[in-house]
Amino acid sequence: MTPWILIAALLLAPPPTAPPPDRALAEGAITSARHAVEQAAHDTHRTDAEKKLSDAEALFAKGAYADAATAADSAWKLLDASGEKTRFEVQVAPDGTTEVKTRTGQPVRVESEGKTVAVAPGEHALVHKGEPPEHTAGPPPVEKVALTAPSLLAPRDHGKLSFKPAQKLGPVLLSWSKVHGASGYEVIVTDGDHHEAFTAKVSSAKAKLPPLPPGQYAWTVRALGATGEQSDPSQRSFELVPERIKLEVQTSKWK
Amino acid sequence: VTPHLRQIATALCIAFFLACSSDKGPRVAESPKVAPVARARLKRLVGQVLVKRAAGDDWAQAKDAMELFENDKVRTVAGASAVLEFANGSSVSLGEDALIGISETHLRPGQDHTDLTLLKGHIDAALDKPAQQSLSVTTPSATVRAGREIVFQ
Repeated sequence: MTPWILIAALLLAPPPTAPPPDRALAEGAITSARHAVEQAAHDTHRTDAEKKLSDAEALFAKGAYADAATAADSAWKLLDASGEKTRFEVQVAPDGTTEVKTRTGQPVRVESEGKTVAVAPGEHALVHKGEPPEHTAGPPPVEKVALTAPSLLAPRDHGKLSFKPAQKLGPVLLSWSKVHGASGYEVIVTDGDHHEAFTAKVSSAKAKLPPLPPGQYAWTVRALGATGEQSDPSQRSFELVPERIKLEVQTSKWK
Repeated sequence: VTPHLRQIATALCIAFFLACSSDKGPRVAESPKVAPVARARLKRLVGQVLVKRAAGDDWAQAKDAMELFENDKVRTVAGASAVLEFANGSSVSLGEDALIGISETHLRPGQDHTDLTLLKGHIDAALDKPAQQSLSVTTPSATVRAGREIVFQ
């Protein structure tokens, strides 16, 4: 055998370490199908999909990557009969940290450092640079802030507010200082008999009361947080009184 | 023959053939230039949205319905937003202070796939037909894949 024949034979032989071209495709298809099966409801579609997935994994083990990919894809397709849109959000922070949230549809796959996690609707994943994804079910945690009680501004405590005489007097504008971390405020106004005369949840640090009957009132404000927490209440009182009618009587020139 | 020897022999052989076919060998005809295909359109622009073309160095003000091609980049400033609408009905909403690129995609026949690179900021993506499409978003720390991994004809 001449050296040229040897070289030609070596050239025609497949490279010893070249990966099969369809292997990565098959791996991706099987990962997708596996996650779709895990998320699927227990019905006939899921049973059929599990069978297809099992076939795909067996074909993959035998090295039949193209056939494995086809089988895995069939499994995926069986479970996507809903036709629902897949919606997801991706947020990249200045330090490169990635947060992924899936809202609807099929799970989204998040891959980093050789690890893949499936993020189903309602779940989220966090990936720090150079680290595998951290997968968490449920909405992302919201940092809880201790809310301080609002500082009430107006009307002043025990103030007498007079309006033109009528069955109901007003309107009265309540105001207080903004509370850091509050997403809203709860306002409760009770009359002299401790009955609720007005209640509201507002987003700004003020509330306008509708006209109310004359009398004593107490008003209470609590700051509300985004995750349901609330501050201690702040309370003041005021009194609604009708203005006095000024009668001016002039003396007559006639005697 | 060990794999090591096989690699050396292959390299020598390639070098030999390259030397023999230096100037005299037949040249392969250059493939005709293909017009680039728009991958998306910019819609619903709010505030200052900028676009940098693949071949350019400057950021230019984006316009409504502007076409985006592979390797183009889109940037939004504070308070700005835009929507990238794809021909297949999918869309990606880009929030304020964000930077996104349309990556090169090597499509297999029958595939409907989009590759994006999000360097900073927030996107809200909607895949219209996830059984027939896929979308990949590469970030500095992860790759996010949505939709069907592969689509066979």
